[in-house]
Amino acid sequence: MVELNINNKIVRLDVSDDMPLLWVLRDVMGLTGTKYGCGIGECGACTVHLDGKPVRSCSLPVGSIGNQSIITIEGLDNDPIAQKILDGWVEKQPTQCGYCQPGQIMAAIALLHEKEKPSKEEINRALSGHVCRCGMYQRIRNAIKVAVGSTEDE
Amino acid sequence: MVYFIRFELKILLAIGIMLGTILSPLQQVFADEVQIDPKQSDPKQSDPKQSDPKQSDPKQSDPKRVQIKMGEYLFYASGCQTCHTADNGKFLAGGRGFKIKNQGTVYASNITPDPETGIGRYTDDEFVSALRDGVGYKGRSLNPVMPYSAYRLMDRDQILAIKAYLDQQPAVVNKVIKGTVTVPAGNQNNNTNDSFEEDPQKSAKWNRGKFLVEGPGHCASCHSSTDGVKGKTPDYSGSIVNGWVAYNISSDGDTGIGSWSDKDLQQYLSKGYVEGHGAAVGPMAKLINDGLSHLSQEDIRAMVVYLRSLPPQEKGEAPANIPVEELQNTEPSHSHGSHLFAALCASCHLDNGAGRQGEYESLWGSKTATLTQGTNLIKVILEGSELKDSKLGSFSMPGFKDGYSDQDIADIANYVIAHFGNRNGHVTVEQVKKERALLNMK
Ligand code: FES
Ligand code: FES
Repeated sequence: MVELNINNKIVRLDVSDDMPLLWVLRDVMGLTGTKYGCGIGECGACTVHLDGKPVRSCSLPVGSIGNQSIITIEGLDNDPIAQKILDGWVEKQPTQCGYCQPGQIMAAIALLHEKEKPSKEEINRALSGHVCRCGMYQRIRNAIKVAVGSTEDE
Repeated sequence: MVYFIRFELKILLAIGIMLGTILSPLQQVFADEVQIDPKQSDPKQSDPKQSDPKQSDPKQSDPKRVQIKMGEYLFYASGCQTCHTADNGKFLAGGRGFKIKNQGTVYASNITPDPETGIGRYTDDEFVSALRDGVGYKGRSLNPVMPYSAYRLMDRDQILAIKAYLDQQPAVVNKVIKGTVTVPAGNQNNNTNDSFEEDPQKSAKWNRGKFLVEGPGHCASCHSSTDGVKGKTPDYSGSIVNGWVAYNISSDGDTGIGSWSDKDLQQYLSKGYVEGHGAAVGPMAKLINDGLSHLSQEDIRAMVVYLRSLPPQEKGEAPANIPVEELQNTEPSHSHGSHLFAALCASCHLDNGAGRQGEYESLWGSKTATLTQGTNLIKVILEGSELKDSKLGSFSMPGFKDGYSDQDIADIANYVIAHFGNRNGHVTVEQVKKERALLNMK
């Protein structure tokens, strides 16, 4: 039995401690917004927030989470930054196939929680582990800039 | 474990993403394939109480069972598996190569009960003299890379318990190729039983620790260059084994483990990682996975007590100890190595080396990440590493040998040393090339 705090709800699940969080989210909870890309922590598609920090859920055994709060892309309702990011995304349309996007968005939100106005370099660093097979990197960066109210474009 | 076995499949999948292939159907296949039944846990990870020989269950007190249990524990304490199981080889079937300086290569033997290629024909006496005197089957001398002079501290009953445990393992037919080192018949079968003697002046803990460290644990085999040199006691000041640096574990505050807390040392020995000192890699990671992690906390504590009492030897480079808060505020570097680090490494280790998901990913303060020669660092970047956790499965780092040039790897290594160590790394392209060639030979 593992007890987890997922999107502000406490759930008790009959899963083993070594099951990665991503499996629990997608297969047990049916929260399929979080994507499975590589399964080894290299692509960022599975990123969720653990106590506000972006983590790779594919390589995080649920037994190690304890009572830290897990927020997935489905659980952003009350997040003020999420709305800003949404605006940026609508304006810059940095989505092609969309597969990497939940991960990119979770990373971007975590970044903006930590830094109100990140520089280009800081955005690059925070999102550098996120692979986008459609090559939308520049637009993603621009969308984040719109979200923080910056007008300079690349 | 299941997840690690899937590792290669996942790599394929990762490539799939890059190529923008049909991902959803593939993902479906994988999702179907991963059947996780929480109840079907690994039998080896069963209730630890079952391994307690004092259990009152009549089956448990059967002397043969008690002997096998004791043998299993000593088998873990002795790290037999680390040498006697080859990479991707069958359990205990031998074949791992050891390069002996200026002599050649020795291959670990098959120690499964197979009569032809294993140790199935060994009599009790032969087995005891192999482990204690280095005189094996039909009087053949064993190469001292087999630490029989350490195993000597175990008495006949303990050694035979190990044999009883080995006899229970599946026999594997695997003829190990002959090494290039010939061992002159020089070892003597003494047939004495002068095993470990307690020092009555010292505590029981210290004595137990000494037995484990110098006996089955044979720490000096790697961590001391004077081990095996006639008339010299091991100094635990570190050495180079099979191309890996075995660090100084004497009690020197800078170059040894003198500044580690007891708690940190204990966690490192049983789990393989601790914040502020990094994670074990290479042979040490294997030894922890296969051996030390199975020992009781009491025994690990005893080892710490004994290690602490080793005289300090100032030898080798000290690790740099720049804490996360300071690393957090360093100016971002624009070097090629720093960009590669951001793209390949920081997703788990983070820029500040704190580790994204857990202590096992932390880098700051580690010798591997901060020693200027980068010997172990290059190896880990190329071949990756794995630590096993009995509860949480396996923490693994993929190797980056494919897809990155020697220059790339050298740049990453030098950036890591500069960033986490505030020192100039001395890793060269030639060094990486050499390591890569060694890897390809494996
Ligand atoms: S699926 Fe987790 S990082 Fe790729
Ligand atoms: S939008 Fe297709 S993978 Fe990023």
